[in-house]
Amino acid sequence: MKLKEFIHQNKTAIQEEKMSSKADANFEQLLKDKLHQPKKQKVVFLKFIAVAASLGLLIATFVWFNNQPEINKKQQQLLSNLENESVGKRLEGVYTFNDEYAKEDDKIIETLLSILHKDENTNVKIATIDALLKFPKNESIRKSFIKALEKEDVPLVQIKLIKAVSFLRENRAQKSLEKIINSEQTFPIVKNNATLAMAEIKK
Amino acid sequence: MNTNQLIKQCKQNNYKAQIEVYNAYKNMMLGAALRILKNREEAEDIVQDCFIKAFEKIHHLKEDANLGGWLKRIVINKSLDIARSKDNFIITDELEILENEPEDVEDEISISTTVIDIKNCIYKLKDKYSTVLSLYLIEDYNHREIGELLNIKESTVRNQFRRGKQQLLKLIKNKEL
Repeated sequence: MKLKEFIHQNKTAIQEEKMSSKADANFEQLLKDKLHQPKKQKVVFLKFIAVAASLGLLIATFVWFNNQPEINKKQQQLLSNLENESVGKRLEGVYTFNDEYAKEDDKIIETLLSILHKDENTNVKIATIDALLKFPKNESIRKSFIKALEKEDVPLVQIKLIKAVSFLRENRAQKSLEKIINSEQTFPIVKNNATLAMAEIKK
Repeated sequence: MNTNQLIKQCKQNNYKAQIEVYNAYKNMMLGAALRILKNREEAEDIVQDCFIKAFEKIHHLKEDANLGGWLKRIVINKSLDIARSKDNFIITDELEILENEPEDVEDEISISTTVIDIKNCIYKLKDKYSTVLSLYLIEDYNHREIGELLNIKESTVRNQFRRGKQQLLKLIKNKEL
């Protein structure tokens, strides 16, 4: 018989080699690992995360949009009170800020600092100092207290400011305090408070 | 399931269909890999990898395509890549002269020759001869296709085949004696 003919007649037997049962078992595991469960689960899990994240983002955006006008409305009301001609309204504004605002709001603090320097009403100024003392780390507030102390001539406000810089242990206020202590126009009670504050700061 | 249905199910990543395809073609695939690599363990690993690769790429295959032929091409290409990477065989092109030896070699084999004899004798051949001979006689590639697979000229394939066949017949004859 010719070689080619023999091979042709026994093609399958010559062509095939028996795969070991160990290899079969390995393949079943390999197939599962590569193309089935784990990958599928991962994809489903990732899809779930993606959907959840999208929903979360959507809800957060919705809540933010809904709350935004309310916050703006409140802030506008407060600013309008602080700038009102009526002393009562300005006081109401300061107390509202004192009671409701736990966070620093640049725009409101700027308005309160302006009140500290320019308002003509003692009560409003005193209430404002109390309100500003909520933020002892704010540098512009600390500087404003020192600046106000230099210019202020109303004894009650002077005492409030002296107590404020003493509470803040503001070293830079020493010059202003000395000026108050040495001034002949200063009320004795103010001088006493200034002397005590100076001693407190120097401790 | 017929082949068309099997391909369709495999495209849907059906585990049962994939196992059915594996069982239907694994031995043929192993034979093809083993004749090139001559290492059973390595050939089994290659066959498994080729099935996975095939299932990943099966969406490229038409449903009426020859699944067995397609799988065989994958495993032969992969096995040749591995063999080349290990320098198992390097066939360089020869001068474009077809060896003009007459077909004087006796092509006849004894009636007592068994399939195992043929397999063993092919196995004993040098890698370059066993590969060309297997691709031509067993996998049914023609000389041009083998040339493309091995990146050599068709005339070189013909010469390698002729020499390989002579050696194979010699081995078979010695076995018979």
